[in-house]
Amino acid sequence: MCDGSSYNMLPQGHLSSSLFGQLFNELHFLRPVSLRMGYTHPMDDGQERTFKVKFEGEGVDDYGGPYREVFAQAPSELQMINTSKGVSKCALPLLLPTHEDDRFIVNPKMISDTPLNMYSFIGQLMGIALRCKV
Amino acid sequence: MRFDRNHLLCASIDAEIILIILQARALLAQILQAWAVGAIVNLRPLHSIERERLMHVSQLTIASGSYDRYRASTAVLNTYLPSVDLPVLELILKRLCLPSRSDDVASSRLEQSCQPRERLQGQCLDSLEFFALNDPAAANSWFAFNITLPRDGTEARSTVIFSGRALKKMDLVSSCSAEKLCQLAGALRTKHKPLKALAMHFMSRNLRFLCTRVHARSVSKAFLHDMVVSSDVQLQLRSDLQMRINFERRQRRLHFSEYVVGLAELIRSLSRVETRLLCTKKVEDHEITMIGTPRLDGATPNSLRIAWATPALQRTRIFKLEVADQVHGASEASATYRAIYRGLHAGAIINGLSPSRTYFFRVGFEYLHATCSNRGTNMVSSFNFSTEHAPPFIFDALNKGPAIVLSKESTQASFCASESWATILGSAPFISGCNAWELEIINSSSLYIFVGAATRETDLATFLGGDSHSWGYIGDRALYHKRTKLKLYGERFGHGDTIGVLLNMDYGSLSFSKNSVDFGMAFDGIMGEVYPAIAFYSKGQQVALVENSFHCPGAGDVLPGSAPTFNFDQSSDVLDLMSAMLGREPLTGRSLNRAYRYCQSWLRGCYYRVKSCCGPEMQVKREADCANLSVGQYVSTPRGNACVLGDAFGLLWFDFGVNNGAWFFTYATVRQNALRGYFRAVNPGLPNKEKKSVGLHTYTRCIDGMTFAHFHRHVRALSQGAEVNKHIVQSIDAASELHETCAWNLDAPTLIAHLDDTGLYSGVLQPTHESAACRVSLILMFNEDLLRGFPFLVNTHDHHQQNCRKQSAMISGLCPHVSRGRYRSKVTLLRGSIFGDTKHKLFRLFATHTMTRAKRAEDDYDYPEDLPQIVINRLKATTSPAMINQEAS
Repeated sequence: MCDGSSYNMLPQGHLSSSLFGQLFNELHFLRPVSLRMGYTHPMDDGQERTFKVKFEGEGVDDYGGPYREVFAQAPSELQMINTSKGVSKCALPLLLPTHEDDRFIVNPKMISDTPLNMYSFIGQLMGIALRCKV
Repeated sequence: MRFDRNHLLCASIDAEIILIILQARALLAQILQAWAVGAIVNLRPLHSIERERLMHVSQLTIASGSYDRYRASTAVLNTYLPSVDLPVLELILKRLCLPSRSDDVASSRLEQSCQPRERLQGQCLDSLEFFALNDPAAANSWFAFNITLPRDGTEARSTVIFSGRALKKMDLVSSCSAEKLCQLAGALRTKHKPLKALAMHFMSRNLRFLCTRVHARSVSKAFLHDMVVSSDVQLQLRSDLQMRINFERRQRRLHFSEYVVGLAELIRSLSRVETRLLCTKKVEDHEITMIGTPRLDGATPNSLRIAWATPALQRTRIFKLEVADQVHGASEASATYRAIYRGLHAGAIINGLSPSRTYFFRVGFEYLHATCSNRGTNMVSSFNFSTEHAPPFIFDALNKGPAIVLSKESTQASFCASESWATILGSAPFISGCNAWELEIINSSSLYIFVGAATRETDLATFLGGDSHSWGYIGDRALYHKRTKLKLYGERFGHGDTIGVLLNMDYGSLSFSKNSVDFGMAFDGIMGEVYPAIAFYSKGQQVALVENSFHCPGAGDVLPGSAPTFNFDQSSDVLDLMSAMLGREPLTGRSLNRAYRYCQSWLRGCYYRVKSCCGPEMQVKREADCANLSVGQYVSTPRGNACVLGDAFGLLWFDFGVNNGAWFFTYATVRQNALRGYFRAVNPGLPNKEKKSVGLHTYTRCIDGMTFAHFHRHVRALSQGAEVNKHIVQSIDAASELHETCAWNLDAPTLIAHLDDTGLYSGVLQPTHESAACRVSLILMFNEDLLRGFPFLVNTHDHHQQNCRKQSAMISGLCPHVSRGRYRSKVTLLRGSIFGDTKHKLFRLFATHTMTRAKRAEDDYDYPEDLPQIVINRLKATTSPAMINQEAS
């Protein structure tokens, strides 16, 4: 059920069931100007940020830690290697594992609008991470 | 509609013609529009106003005797409005021209008006120049002047394109004279963008034409010589370019505008024409004559115009004017001379100077035809001139926070918003000397006002001391730095007080006085290019610079090699080198010399690359006599403990262990303070940064074998080497990672040994160390140049809208010679020769320049409104099927 071919269209429910999807829902419509934002809060100890994160249902204030956590968790979701019988099982099969150890390729079947937007959002996320030196 | 007849007549006749064509076009456009929506011109009677306009236009056409040309212009109209049926257009034109046919006067005028085309073109140029030089506003109104179209920039632009196209059809030969080029260069000075584009277009076309003619040797030498040598064109263009570069640098641009890049390219091709022209001549033996005593042709507070006399015979020598970059207090003998002018004209205009300062120059010449080996420059006479007296700095309109208004002379600044902080900087930075100035607070309703100093990186929308780049003293007597209140200091100040600021850049200290009462040192440890600054908070606050209060011996000091000293010539060198690396053109004399010198100094390994507090990285000499200090030693200094780096530009450089780079003390300061107990070795408790003897080791075999002729031979082999370069760069990257140092600081033996080890090198070229060293040093030089010449190379536009893109495409379509993306494609081709290090630096540069700043909230601890806040539900994410699957497996 979870192999790449059946995910040409990603239903909304699946998006919110992954951190990357939630991020995508919250950020992808913003203008590039907003995504290039750099702000340092006095309590953040120099960590530049482009957005502020609130973890729902967890008693945690974002002074840099949760922000960095987002950048740690989102890629690990995308690069989840979980191959049973050679089929990737992942909520968002945007990246497919290759036979080489730690390399991924883009999923050639994800060509409808939403996944394509997601690919560009991956790029934006990488940009934010580099800019903020996460 | 109203015509100002006088206005029209004061322009030349042809200006009028173009105007009329334009107006006719506007009318036609309107009529055609009406026609398009269904009201057919034939059937529907024209509105009385429209008819009146038509009559007026046609009368004017006749009155100016331009009937013939008006007809000719309909051909242009046809091309401009290609979607319109020709018969319809003719019909309209017939109606327009009808009265003139029946007019006897018109037919007689018709005969008179058959001027040769050159004259028409010449007159067009005359009027362009007239408008450009005399009255930019008039130029604006001239182009924006029409009946129906809105008076905005885009219309003016299309107007110029339109008239440009009309002019483009004319023959070019006639305009290829020194006089014409000079006129066009004058037209480039206008503030009117489309007009500039037009002038640029003509110049580049003329130059291209000239280049081909010179190449084919089908132009009389006398004509060319007259055109190139005796004209002022280059001089004027260079001066314009330098002025513009200075301006854009103050705007903190990441890269220069298309205009600057285009202008640089123009000058480059102009000097190429020169060189080619002179190369066609027979080499003759010249007796050596001296350059006459230079004289000052004019001085302003910011520029000097210098000329020197030369014997008329000496046509093939290239003059070189150099200025001494001196830092106040640096040892005299070590003054670094920097070339500011190089060309055939016996004179130069130097812009961007500091007022009331004496500059030391030297002038010399070199022979164009001299063989490479004896191609030294003979710097003959040295002399000095002073700029006019003026305040060393004023308030800088380009570096001010929101809602700050300047007086006409920029000596007063006032604030027109309220309850928000805004900072304004002075127009000149200080890096040395003990500088003092006074500020009079003319008006202030509160004590919330800052005086102090800041570097350019500071945030102008906050108070002084609001970040780590500024230092401020507030009116309710406190000192701020890094957004922290450091301590109480001095007395309260406000309305009517005069505050004195003393910035001692020799020690890095800042102190203040109020109404001549000195409060003592406020800050220390200040480094970098520091600007005078003030910050406002309340509405109506007003501050003036006190005349005659300035005592700024350090004003106008620049660090050799820092950004302000990078001029057109160097950017031209970068482009030369690029072409050579692409194998398009051989590396020519001057660049070859430069490369040879670079290679030598690299092989000797006596230089070490460090980053200074301001500007790009620089080379520090590590063998120098460092006033009894040894390189790599930790010593105490007035700015805190630091590691001695070495000597550069007659200054001693130290690493203070802060992120933003190294800074210097002058030898004099070091000597003075050594008596006071500073500059003694300390034990920092850190491992000594100095590694074995890196850089001091000499690779003797290589140096001994490397003569200029050898070098030249190796460099010539470079053209086949794009692939080889790629391998070398990969290897250098690997080596710099291995040795944990930047690529430039890898010394020659290490690097060449590394190349040997990897075996990358031996397979592709003859495996001599010499040729390897040669190639590597060229790549190193290229990377360094790339970083420095970067503002000239990138040439992209902020295309926010499709519309905008179309417009600029039209403009650049006018300038095929300096078409966009030329440099970019070169950089792309040379990608294989760029280090990881360089790429990283360029990326950081881009990242910092494109960063959006959030507007700070009132309270520091509140988050800004425009910062996106998002809610993430991690629990939901972890309970997703994927996660569960993972946990299960």
